[in-house]
Order: sequence, then structure tokens, then C-alpha cells
Amino acid sequence: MRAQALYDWSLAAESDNWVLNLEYYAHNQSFISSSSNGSLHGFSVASLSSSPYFSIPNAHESSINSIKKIDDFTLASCSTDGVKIWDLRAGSTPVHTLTNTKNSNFLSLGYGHNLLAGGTELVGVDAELHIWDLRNPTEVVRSFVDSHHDDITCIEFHPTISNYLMSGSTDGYVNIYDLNEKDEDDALHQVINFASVHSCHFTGPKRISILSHMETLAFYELNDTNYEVIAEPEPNDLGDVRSKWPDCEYIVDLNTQGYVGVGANSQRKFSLFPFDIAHEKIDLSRPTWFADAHGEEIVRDLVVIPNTRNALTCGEDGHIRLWEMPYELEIASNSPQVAEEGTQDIEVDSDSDNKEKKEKKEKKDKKDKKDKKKKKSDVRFKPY
Amino acid sequence: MSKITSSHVRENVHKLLEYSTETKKRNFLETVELQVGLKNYDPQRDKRFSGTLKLPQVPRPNMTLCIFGDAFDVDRAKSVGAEAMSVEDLKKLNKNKKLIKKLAKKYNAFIASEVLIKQIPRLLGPTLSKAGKFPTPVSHNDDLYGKIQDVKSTIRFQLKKVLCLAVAVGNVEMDEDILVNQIMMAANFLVSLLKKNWQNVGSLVIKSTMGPSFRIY
Repeated sequence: MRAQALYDWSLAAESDNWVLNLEYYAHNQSFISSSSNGSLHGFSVASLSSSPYFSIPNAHESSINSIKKIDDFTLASCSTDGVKIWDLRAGSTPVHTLTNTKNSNFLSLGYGHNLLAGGTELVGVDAELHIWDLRNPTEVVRSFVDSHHDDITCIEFHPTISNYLMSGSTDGYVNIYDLNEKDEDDALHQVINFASVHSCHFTGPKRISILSHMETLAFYELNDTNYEVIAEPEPNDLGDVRSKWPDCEYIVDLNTQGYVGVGANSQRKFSLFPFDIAHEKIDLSRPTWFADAHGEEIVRDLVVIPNTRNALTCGEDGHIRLWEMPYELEIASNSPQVAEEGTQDIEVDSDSDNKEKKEKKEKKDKKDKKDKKKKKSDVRFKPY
Repeated sequence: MSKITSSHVRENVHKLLEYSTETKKRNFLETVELQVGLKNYDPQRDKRFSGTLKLPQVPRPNMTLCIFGDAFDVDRAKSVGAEAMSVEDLKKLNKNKKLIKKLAKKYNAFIASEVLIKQIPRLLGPTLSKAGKFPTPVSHNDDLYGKIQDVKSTIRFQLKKVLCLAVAVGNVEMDEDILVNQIMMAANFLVSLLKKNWQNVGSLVIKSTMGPSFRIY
């Protein structure tokens, strides 16, 4: 079935500009886009105006590698000049700029449980992962610099178990860290040796999806902490999906809300398939075709706006398009996003628990600081 | 559609082998490399990636490999003549970074019994990952010798910030037919991963370690 094109925002006027990522803000029906020329733009889906309600032309010095929604008014973005946190109401000065001592190019971002994680490209022999607490971002909470040996391309926090963080890299590994452990040597909980990682997600409390740059897709089990006994099932490896799914030359991403975006730019094709996250199966019977989506250029991001029939796409042609799909996608009931919202509600209800956690955390932080003072030579991070 | 034909590749492979086995034979086994020059690719904005591909034959037979095995796999490793270490051996390293680094340097790759994979990060920390040598799992049902050959014949190419990449596809003692096949496979697979396929390929060159290069595209 065909999706109908509703609107087209063009950022292509600035020569050869690509639109790389989208983040949707439900509370005011708008989205933020990031571009290869280092600019951020915000457009409203409600009013469908070609002029942005929010715009920072030089948010970064070069191509923005990743953006992440923090809350209704906050966005994090990263590029060669580090990680920047933006207050979308405040305008063109970042609230914080975070970087490492090497001023590395940050490629990936992850956010969860008040923590922001950024992953860098390989510089020398180190591909670094730094974690900041956004309530006090001048201090780095954790740094993992020895666990990857190539560009870190994807980071995700566990939706419910707040001490688990996952990172994927072009070195072919997905690492899972236990943030309760201070020392990197002890923090590494699990290593999945798969293939150059394009994206990795928690698709359930114990399931991990990995999409590789070779367009292979697999699902792995999150290991438990009983390291001596293997209780985990074998991974579910779907192999190279280009040969299995129609009109598939590349995959944009597997979205844990239950859909996958698939492109064939040599044929000017782009389609969306529902994806059964629980059973780890694509539903090929109900494709949605986005006619001539972004022409011969790659579609870089696809967002289905929850509880509507609308979807947004952006691509290397410098355009963002709003579409109406033939049917509303059912959001996977076990999707971590849903779960996350659930837990957040619970946390609000049980304030006392929260305080306890915070206190514990503060204690931990203090310990951290002490540690750092002890071995100054080990401090690799220097905040601005 | 592939833009290289096996007859054209064969011509060049023939010349390459003639040079390395007759004109100027070296005192070591020369590796044959496929070098790719890219075009219309912007490493700043385009996705950087690495890829792995299993070739039919082992390109570098001298590759060293070690197996971290449970009792069953240590025995199997001995029977196929592979080096092996048990969990006890690994525990003896006592998480000592220097020792683990030394171990990582000693071998080109590692294989571990499936049942041990979960323990490896606990026993050895991130050092193996840092070296890019985290072991590949092998189950008791897998043929261990086959697995070793798989790991040895898997090549890896990386698209980095520069517009060229190189990958070892074989060696000069291989038959012409096999080498042609390895080159065709590697080239076609790599091109299939580029976003505009052949439009992103500027040149394809094959070269032995010490010999001259031969352009095949």
C-alpha cells in the first residue's frame, strides 16, 4: 500500500546539505532535524510551515553525527567539536558543551536515567565512551576507553535496568557494561562478537537486536550474572536480509516500536514493514511504499509518529518529508519505549525510593571523586 | 551487475603470479592484496563501516590461533593440532593486563567454547576487545577444524577516513583459479555494500606484497 506525501521541507538550498537524523517531540507536535552542515532545525508538524520555529545554523562545526531527545525541551547533539546540550526554548547557545581531553569526534549518543553517554571515533588506539550525569555534567561519571578498538557507532541504555549500558562499534562488538562497577576491567559484563555495528537496541528486558553494516540482523540474549552457567538461548541470526526482504539494498534502522525502514536507492524505492518485536519477525504482508521517497539518495532516518498514521523521513537529498500511511501501526506492547514510560511514572509515584537512589548515587559519586584524586594520572577527561 | 569479468581478472592474476613465482620469487610467502580506491564518497558524512567476508580458501595460512576450551574442546584442539588454553590457564593470568596483552599479541585470533564466552570478559577484561581479538564462539556440535578454517579464511576490510581500503585475499602459492575466485568474491561483496555500488568505485588494484600492482578496474 502506498503512503501519501503530505509535506516537504527542503534544507537542500544550502549546497549539498544532507538531513541525517530526526527527533520527534510529541508535546508540541514538532521535530528537530540535524544536518551534515552542522545545523539544527525545528519544524512543526501541526502547522506545516516551511519556516522553522527553531534554527541554529552553526550548532556544530561539521556534520552532526547523532542527536538525542533528552526531555520535552532539551536535545543533545554531537560532532567533531564534542557533545552539546541545547535548551530548545533558549536559542543558539548550548547549555553545556562536553568533550574529552583529545577533543575527539563524537559519533554516537545514548540517554537514559539522567545519564548521557557519548562514543567517539577511533583516535590513535582509543575509541572512548564517556558518561555524564546531566544533573551535574561538569564531572564525567564513567569512562570506558579500552573496550572497543574502532569507532563507536551506537549507544543505548537499558530501558529498565539502569546500570546496564550497551555500545556497538565498527570493530564488530556489542559491549554491555555494568555501571555499578567503577573499574572498566570489572564493568565489562558481556561482549557480543557479531559484525560491524550499524545499530543495536534493547528490544525487550533481555533481548538485544543488532543490525550490521553488512545488512545482517541478529537477536541476542542479555546474559545474566551467573557467569559460570550458560542459561541463555542461542542467538537468533536472520542473516543478510537484503536477499530475504523485497526491494532491500539497505536498512535504515529497526525501530523497537515495531517497524523497519528498508531502502533500494538504485530503484528509487523506500518501504516500511511492520516488525513483530516479540517474535523477532518481519511482516512482509503489509508493506507501506513511500513512492520515490528521496530519489536516488539514501534515507537516513524514519520516524513513525505514535498514535497517528503519519511518518517522517529525511535523507541525503536534503529533504524532510511528512507522509500519511494507509494504516496506523500498532505499537509493540512489549516495546522498551512503552516500558520506559511506565517506569518513569512509577518513579514519580514513589518519591522515597527515588531519594534513596539519589542518596546512594551521591555516595557513589563521592567515592568516585576520591578515587580520581588518588590517581590523577588516570583522569583522561577534562571538562570545559 | 558486476563490472569486472573473471577473464580480465585472470589475465592480471596470471601476470601477478608470474612475477612473484618466477621473475622475482621472495623468501617468504607473499600475500595478495585487493586495493580499492573509492570515489563520490564523503567519509565525513557517509557511514564508515567495516565488513567481514568468509572466503573459500585461507588467504594467510600462517595465521596463528588459540582456543580457549572446556575439557572437551581442549582435547579436540589437541587432536587437530591447534593450541589451546583451559579456564584454569586463563585464571592463572589473574587479570594481569600485561600478561593478557602478551597473550593477545601472540596469536592472530582466538576461538572459545560457547560455554566459556560468557566468562571471557570476567576473566580477561576488555584487553582482548581492545586488541580486536575477542574470541569467536564454537559449540560442541560444530566441527572444530572447520571453525578454525572459517576464522582463518574470514577477511576484514575497513572503510576509514581515507578514500582507499585494502584487504588480503590470498597468497602467491594459490592456484590461479582460486585466486581469481577469491578476488571476484571480495570485490563484488565490497561493492554491494557501497551505497551507489560501482559508481563509488574509482579503481580496483591487485598487488602481491613485494610485486608491482595490476589494475583490474
